[in-house]
Amino acid sequence: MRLAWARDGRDWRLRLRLDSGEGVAGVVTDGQAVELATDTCHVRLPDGTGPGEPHPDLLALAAWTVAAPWTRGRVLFDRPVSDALAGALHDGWGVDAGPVGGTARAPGERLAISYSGGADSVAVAALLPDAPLVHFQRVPHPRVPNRWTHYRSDVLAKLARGTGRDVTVVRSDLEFMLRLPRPGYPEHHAVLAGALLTAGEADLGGVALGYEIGSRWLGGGRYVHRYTPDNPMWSGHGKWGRAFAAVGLPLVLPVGGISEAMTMRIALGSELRDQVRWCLRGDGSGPCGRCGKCLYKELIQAAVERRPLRTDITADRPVAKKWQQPPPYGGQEMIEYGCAHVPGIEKTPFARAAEHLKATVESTRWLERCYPPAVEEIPEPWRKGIEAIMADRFGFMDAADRLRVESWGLRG
Amino acid sequence: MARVVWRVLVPRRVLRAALARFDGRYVTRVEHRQDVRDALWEVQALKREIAELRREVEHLRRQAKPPAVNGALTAKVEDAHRLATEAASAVDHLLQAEVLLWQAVDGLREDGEAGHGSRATSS
Repeated sequence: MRLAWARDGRDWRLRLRLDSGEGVAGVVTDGQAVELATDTCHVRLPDGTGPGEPHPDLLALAAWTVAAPWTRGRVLFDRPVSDALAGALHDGWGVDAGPVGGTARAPGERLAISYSGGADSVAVAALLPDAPLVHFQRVPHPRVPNRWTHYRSDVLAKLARGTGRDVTVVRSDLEFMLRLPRPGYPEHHAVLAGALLTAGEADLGGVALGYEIGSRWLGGGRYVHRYTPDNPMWSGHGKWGRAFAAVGLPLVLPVGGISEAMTMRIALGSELRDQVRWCLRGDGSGPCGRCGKCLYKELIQAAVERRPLRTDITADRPVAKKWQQPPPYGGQEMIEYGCAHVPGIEKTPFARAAEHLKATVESTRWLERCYPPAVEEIPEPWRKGIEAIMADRFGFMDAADRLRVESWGLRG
Repeated sequence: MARVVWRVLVPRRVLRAALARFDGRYVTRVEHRQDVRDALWEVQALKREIAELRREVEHLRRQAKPPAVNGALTAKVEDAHRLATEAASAVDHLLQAEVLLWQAVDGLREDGEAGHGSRATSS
């Protein structure tokens, strides 16, 4: 794989070139098979970005978040990368990265938040009121037909600006590098392209993400659905964690020890509640209320508010189909929590899931406390502050709770 | 009993003045009856109007014709949709082919350079 950046004003254009033996079929770190659509993309930094160049390691890692799924054996960057980054790529992926030269980037002072506007990243923003936000906004690719015009990235960017915080909106078409399964981040970490390219100028020494206990420790989303202390995407010592640390921008998961129900409680109880938006389709007037994500998040919100489900979606709708099947589900811990706490669950699209899961208020209480190793993993400059917040607002799990986490997906 | 106490304790003149004052503030029974009668009459009138409107809607519905299907336009729309879908899919293939083409070009270039290099050293 050969990767080259070209700058045009505030646009950074990336070009991929496949080596022999590489193809358009690739695999993401979480195991998802993907197909490359085209070989160029761009990242547009906001107005007022200085003329200085990012550190070569920052450019290289940003390119790597796009190219990793298709790279075999070696990766050649257009600028020399430090020993530290080359070592992290070698240890993590078994690839030879080059050319090697120059010194590694020293971490800056500030912690930025990768802010999508969903409940999890709003929770992080609420817990860290002084941290600047970096928002990734999808824009169409000039060469790839856009079949996803219902994705309202403009609405999400507007909501992010509406927070009144220090927000950097970075526009990019890099999601259209994926032809299959659909446009999206080639690696989850590609959302950090903007944070990487502005890290030098913004003096960043870490980037906080909204990944919660399900994503970090329970193998949630499209990952393995079991306890993952060595999660390659999000653990501090995983391959991505080490690569980001090597460029002086360690990954920080302030809410990595608590569940989505608790991040939702923080977000909806914060002054940013009017900016919370997990739906990617809704317009300025609100979430669509019809997509699968709206249904899933409504279950969590109803559970947090201890009220019946408010939805027009019925069990026979395609978006409710997976809840008619037996478990396992991605994000199953939250389905259990929802089924245990929502009154009248037997009259909702989650009735079948509730029958299978048999969750109770007592059996889901561990999801209201913080998993201590998640705090131990937070880099030192920010650990104490987060630890105090977690102790104060949620308390820590006891041995029995911890066993629930550590045996997740392993018991029959 | 309370009324008797009132009568005894309060002078008739004062009581009458007080009662007159109360009466002035409230609607009389006769007026109430008239209000209820008026309201009933209005309800009846509205009932008749609604029945009339229902009949009219029914009548218009029977008269309405199904929207004219413009066969030519439908065909055009369908054809445009087919063309857009096919064109987008063709662009997808072209873009992927371009990626592979550059890969082949780079491969040839590297082979060429290696070839030149080996000839240069052998001669």
